Amino acid sequence: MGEDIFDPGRAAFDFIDEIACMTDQQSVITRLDREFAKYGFTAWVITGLPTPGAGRIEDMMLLNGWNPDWSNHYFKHNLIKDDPVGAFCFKSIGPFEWKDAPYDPAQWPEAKQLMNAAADVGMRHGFCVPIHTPAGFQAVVSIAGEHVDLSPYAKRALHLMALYAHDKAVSVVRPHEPRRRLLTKREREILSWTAVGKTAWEISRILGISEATVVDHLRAAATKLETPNKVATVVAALRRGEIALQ
Amino acid sequence: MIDGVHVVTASNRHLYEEAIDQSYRLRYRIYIEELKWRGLPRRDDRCEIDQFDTPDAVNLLYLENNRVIGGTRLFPSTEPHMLSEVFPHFAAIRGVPREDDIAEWTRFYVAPERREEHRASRVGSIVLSSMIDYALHEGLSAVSALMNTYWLPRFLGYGWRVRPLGLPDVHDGEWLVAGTIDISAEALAGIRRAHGLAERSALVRLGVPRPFIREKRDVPAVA
Repeated sequence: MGEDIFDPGRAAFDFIDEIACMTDQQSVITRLDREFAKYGFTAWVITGLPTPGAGRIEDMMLLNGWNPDWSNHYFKHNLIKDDPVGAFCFKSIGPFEWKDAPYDPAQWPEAKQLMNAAADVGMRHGFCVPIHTPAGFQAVVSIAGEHVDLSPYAKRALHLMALYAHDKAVSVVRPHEPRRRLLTKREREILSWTAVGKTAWEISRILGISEATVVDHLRAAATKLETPNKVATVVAALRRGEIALQ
Repeated sequence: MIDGVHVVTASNRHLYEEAIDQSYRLRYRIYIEELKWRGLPRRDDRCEIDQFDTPDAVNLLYLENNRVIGGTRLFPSTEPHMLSEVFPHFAAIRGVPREDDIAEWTRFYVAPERREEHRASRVGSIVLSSMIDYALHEGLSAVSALMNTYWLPRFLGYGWRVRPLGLPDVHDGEWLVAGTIDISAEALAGIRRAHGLAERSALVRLGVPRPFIREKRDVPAVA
């Protein structure tokens, strides 16, 4: 009896399992929206950051869950230059709350202005999970909202989710970099032959297996790539770098 | 001894006394002097040895010109191990895995002079891929590990399937997370591809290394 208690730990694990097989960018965005909303976060981004003076943040965006007006405003005025949170991402290996990004408002009034402007559009409280590897800073997952759960347990759950969300973002946004092979060697082989116009029967002769087996492999590949037919499967496989045009 | 990643177990260890000693000293340089890990027992002999350096441990030691330049360690999860004895709170959600075909993976190290700036070193990449290679050929389904969170993006980037056991937490000033890494041919291909390594094993087995999964004695039901 009673209400289901929301358990951030279990929710994080369920989230990680659910996004594991996703390949469609919009599905991932929708899923992230929903998960972050459970903690009261209404805005989020997964993005690389330009080192000061070198490049623009919009070129390094992976997934943008910001309000479009805020996003346009931020890009147009290159507000990364005024952003104390962005600056701290390079220094902090671990996650941090926006309020803990250190800066002196007296010395850096633009930073204070930016944080106030963000608060005015509902991004009053924020949490950042910088993504570092042994090679250095890679990207950041930054989330914000008005009434948020930033208890220690929630932050640990969000930290874990962010690590997997970032990896998923790279996989779906930069599919030409074949990072995770979804398809088996046999599935890739069959799709490669399909890509050059061979029928399932012809492929069965080439590989010395039954036509039914070829069809099974094509179906399995379509399921993994979430595509409705053979042509779409070939296209998806090419885009993901699972097969290449000879 | 030929260059390569040598498999050292209880049954062929007598061939590797010098190399094992070198590995303990290299571990001391890294884990005690450089990283200053606080939980490790302090010894006078400049060797880093803990309670899991027993005959059950398998060491994979990268030897080059008979010098240990990198290495890593695997331990049966069916025995009391680091995660079960020292850090079970990191597995609070999924529980500590204890299976014949799951090994605990601890200590991954590269000699400081072989590290490369801003990128994974070739030596490190070979040790990592050899760990997967060894686990695959020993029939392991997964390895469990407590790792710094900064390894997770790299491992996921290899296409490894890493399943967390609990939420990340801070220990001794560092963010750590425990997880299992699935062992598969795809995992091995993934790291080799990421680091441009050949599809060729670097493992060396001298003498008669013991299989990781020990055969159980069958007790007949009927005499």
